[in-house]
Amino acid sequence: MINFLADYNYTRPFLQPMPIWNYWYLLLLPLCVGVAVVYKAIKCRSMSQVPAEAASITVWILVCFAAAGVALVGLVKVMSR
Amino acid sequence: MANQPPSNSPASAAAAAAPPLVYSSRPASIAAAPLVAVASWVLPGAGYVLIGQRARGLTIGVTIIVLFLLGLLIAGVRVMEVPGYDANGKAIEVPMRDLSTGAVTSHWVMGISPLVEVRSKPWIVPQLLTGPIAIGAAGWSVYESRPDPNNPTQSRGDQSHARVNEIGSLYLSVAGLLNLMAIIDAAHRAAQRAGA
Repeated sequence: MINFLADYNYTRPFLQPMPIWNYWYLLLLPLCVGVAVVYKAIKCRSMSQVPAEAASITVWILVCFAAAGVALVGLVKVMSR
Repeated sequence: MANQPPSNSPASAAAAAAPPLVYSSRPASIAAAPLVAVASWVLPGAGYVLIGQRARGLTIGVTIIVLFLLGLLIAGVRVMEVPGYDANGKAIEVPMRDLSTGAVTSHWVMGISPLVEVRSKPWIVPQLLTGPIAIGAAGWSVYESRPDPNNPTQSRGDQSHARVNEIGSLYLSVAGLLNLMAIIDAAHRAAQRAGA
């Protein structure tokens, strides 16, 4: 990882963008986890329920993202015929 | 009242034996809802701590702050576009002519038409919901946009583009909107407790 960052001359965190343009879709994972944790921490009555509920909703968000992506690709292919 | 079971029924006996429904084992705080809302904005999660729900407050606060910092890390601090400042970190001035004297003077655009300026950089609105941390990051962004004293043709910090910029912006905005949700929920819980 450090070699990868050094290859792109990434030496100033926060002052230059991370060289992750080829892996941008992986950045959706922490965002989904964050949204799921905050949402379930607000929604659940007991905090002990939060980890399992947040894991479940994270998987649902990712599955729905993937399904929406596949549907849109299909739609674009049909429309561009 | 016809739907209520008789007082000596098994259901009412079970209800009397069940522990009361509480959100936390800590004693209810008397913090007022507006105070809880302001505390939640100043420090994400602090509103829950004020009403005695420390675990919930820590979980929400840490998650929101981590999302915000991740956004800054991914796209660089200059991902925050601050209304009233251009890409070089310079205050945008608008020349205006005084009709009586004819003199032309410059005014900061935020003093003349702030809504137009905010409308051209709308992401700042959800980003600022994260609290003073976002105001600090906005100031940092303006500072890093200014020319580097050692190399005046370049700014101190680099600007991100395309998807990296979009994703960084998304992280910051989502952090702010999640904090808005937490502010509303914590204030609602505080109001419910005050009314109980």
